[in-house]
Amino acid sequence: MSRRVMFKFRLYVAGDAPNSAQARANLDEICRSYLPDWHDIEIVDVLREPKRALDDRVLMTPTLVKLSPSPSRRIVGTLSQTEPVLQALGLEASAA
Amino acid sequence: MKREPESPAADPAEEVSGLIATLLETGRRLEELTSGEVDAVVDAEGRTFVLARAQEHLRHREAATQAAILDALPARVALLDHRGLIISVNDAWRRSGTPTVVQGPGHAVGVNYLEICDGAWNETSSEVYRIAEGLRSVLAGGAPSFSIEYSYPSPTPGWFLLTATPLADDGRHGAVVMHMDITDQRRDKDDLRESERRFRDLLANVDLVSLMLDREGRITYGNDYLLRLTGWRREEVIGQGWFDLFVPPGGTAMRDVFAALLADLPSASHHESEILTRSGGERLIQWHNTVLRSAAGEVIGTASIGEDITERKRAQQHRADMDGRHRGLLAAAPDAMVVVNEAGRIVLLNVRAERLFGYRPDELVGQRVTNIIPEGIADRLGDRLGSEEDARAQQMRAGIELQGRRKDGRAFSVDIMLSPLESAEGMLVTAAIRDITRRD
Repeated sequence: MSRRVMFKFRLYVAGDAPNSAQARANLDEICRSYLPDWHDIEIVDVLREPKRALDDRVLMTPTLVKLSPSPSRRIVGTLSQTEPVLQALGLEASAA
Repeated sequence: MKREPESPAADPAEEVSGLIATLLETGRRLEELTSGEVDAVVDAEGRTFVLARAQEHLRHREAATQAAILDALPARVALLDHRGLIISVNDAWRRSGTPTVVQGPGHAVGVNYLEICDGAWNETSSEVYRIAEGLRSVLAGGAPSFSIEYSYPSPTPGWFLLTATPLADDGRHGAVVMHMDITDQRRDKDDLRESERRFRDLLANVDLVSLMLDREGRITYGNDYLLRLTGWRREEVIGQGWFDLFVPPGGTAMRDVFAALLADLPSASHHESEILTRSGGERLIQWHNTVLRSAAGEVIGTASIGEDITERKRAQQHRADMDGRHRGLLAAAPDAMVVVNEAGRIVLLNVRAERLFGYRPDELVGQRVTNIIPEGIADRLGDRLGSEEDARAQQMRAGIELQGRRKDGRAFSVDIMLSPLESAEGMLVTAAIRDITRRD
């Protein structure tokens, strides 16, 4: 898989509650290390926009949704365990 | 439909206890299911449930943010509950120290602010009473807000602005009370007021007309001098049309100037015009005009300072008439005539004098008299410009013999008779000069 593909993420958070803040920091770190310049992150605060969570059937926050490239994936939690997260996102094979 | 209690016989306290246990167990189970990695859960109907730990964190965070904002304010802020109890205060309030200013900040959390004000009723001014009244009104939901400026005597005298704003739309949830130190602003305002007062006094006491008109030409201000000069009383002129009372019939020039002033034309800043006195007399006034503006910058009227130049003009006219006569006399005189001013310069001479000294017409005007009479005249001019009595005594005396000098340098004997002359330029000396060379 070419590394030139743009990765689009949407991260659902509950304000700056501790797990949400942690997930945000971890996602930033992962993107910086593995996808510099090839990522796009949208943050959705379910406390402000509960309807979006419902529309996307996100039942727990924080939840990360990988929108593209397909297949789309969801990961719930703080994204602290890097290896399983990379695997789930399909980034392991292309990791340096 | 009204809901019936599920088990009317059950003890409400027991039921509450049971529900809390369920709630705690639910939270614990959700934490367990999500390995402590989740902050909030949403059910299929979109109901969000924030887990206990996240709730605690968010609440703490919110409170810290609000406290930081309040602490950053220089004003002293306190939160009162609906009874007037101080629930929370900011840093500035805490630091404001002693509650010696009874109505001011410095009181601790838990104290009832209204009671402090009530208790202070005997020892300070009515301001305290008004503060208590205002606060009660806000807390009862009667007033949307309340503010008052109050003074404090110590440690150094100053001023505070107190504002009270209800927490919700009405005061039933309590109110925020804020004290702002406005000593500097008050001092500036007082200074400005004092400066305005001095300016008004100045206008009232100088021997100059001071006049303000609104856009319609109605008199909004006229100083005592204007009234003395024209014979009107203040109540007779304020609000009246300036042009009806004070401008002679046909005095269109002043109306034109007024229109130009309102149009903000700089040409209208100075002019001379006659005004009518109450008895129908006329005074000539030299005006200096400017426009008055509102805070928004709109022209709302005019302000003028005027000097009564009636007498000065009369004197000038008199002198001008006299000068005209002098010229006539000079032209008709049989001798060469030279008029010299106090500085010893020639201001006027006749054709005979020009010819006698060999100059072209007007060449000598402005030159020193010593250019044509090198010696013996300068000191004698001083004599003639001395007391008028001396001058008159001497003017009939016979002339003096001196040497004249032509433009080409040739000297010749002249007989000179000096006499004083009052003119528009001040005292002058007329020298009647006769060539006496032929006598020799």
